[in-house]
Amino acid sequence: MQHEIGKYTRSVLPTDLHRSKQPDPRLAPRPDDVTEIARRRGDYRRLIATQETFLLRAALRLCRSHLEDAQDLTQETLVRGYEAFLEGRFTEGSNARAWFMRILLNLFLNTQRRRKWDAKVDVDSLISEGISHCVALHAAPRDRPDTALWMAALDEPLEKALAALPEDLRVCTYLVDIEEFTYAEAAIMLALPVGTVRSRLWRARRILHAHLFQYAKGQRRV
Amino acid sequence: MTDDSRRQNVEFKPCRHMERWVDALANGSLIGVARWYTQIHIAGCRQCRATLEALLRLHERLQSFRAISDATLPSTLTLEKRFTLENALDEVEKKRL
Repeated sequence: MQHEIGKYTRSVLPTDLHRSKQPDPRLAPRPDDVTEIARRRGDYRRLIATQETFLLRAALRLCRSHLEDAQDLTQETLVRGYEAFLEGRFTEGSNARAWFMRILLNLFLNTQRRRKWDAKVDVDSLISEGISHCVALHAAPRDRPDTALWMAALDEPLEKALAALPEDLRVCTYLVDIEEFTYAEAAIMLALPVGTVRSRLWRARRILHAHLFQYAKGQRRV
Repeated sequence: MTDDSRRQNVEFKPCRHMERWVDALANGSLIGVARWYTQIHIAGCRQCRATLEALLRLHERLQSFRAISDATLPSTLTLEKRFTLENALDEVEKKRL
């Protein structure tokens, strides 16, 4: 018992607290590890330099030109990419663009899913956190000021038609029709069968065509 | 009616059994006998021909959209984000060590 009390008393002594913050020499990184990590960081920097512009533009198109979201998404992609890079999940000489794109898409789709999930607020949370907390009661994404401003700033009817596509169709169109990934590459990135990608693209193209046709009709061009 | 508007004024309703082939022909992935058969079908089918034209036109527009937006969008992270990124990469390294 005395021993227990003694241990407890000792553990709160300021000198001990100070001592506990000293790094244990056995746990310090070995010089070899540090050199290796520095080398890998250099390699990764070179990889980033070739892909940053592509990733940022991809993020901007996916985030419907919302710059802050796109910058965050790109930054997060590069951090996740570095974790995977250090774990050896990137093969030198493989398609870096597709590799980064898959990470970016996963992050983007997870964020979208989370937002949808957060929007489904139950009565209890509504009462405890107030009505203003409920995203579901806010304006629809198309009516929010940032989206509305962006939509209004566009002249190109195609961009409006793209923005109006449902998320799953828009991502497929973006990957295949804009970024020119193959159906198979898009299927791998989205973890979907190729047939699903094909049918989504078909639906997306039908919708895009219908939008553009209606626009042209509205302009009395047809 | 201009050339452009005439191209817009096309139906997007191919024969049901030709949807996949017309789509594949438009994106250039159709080869061999399937390509030959689709081309013969399209030569004699107004609806499928119109769909192919519409798909090719849409593809052209999407590509030009990419070119235009590439020319106007920013190409690098802001300095603030870059600073945060470097710190985050340091953290990743610390976790590894």
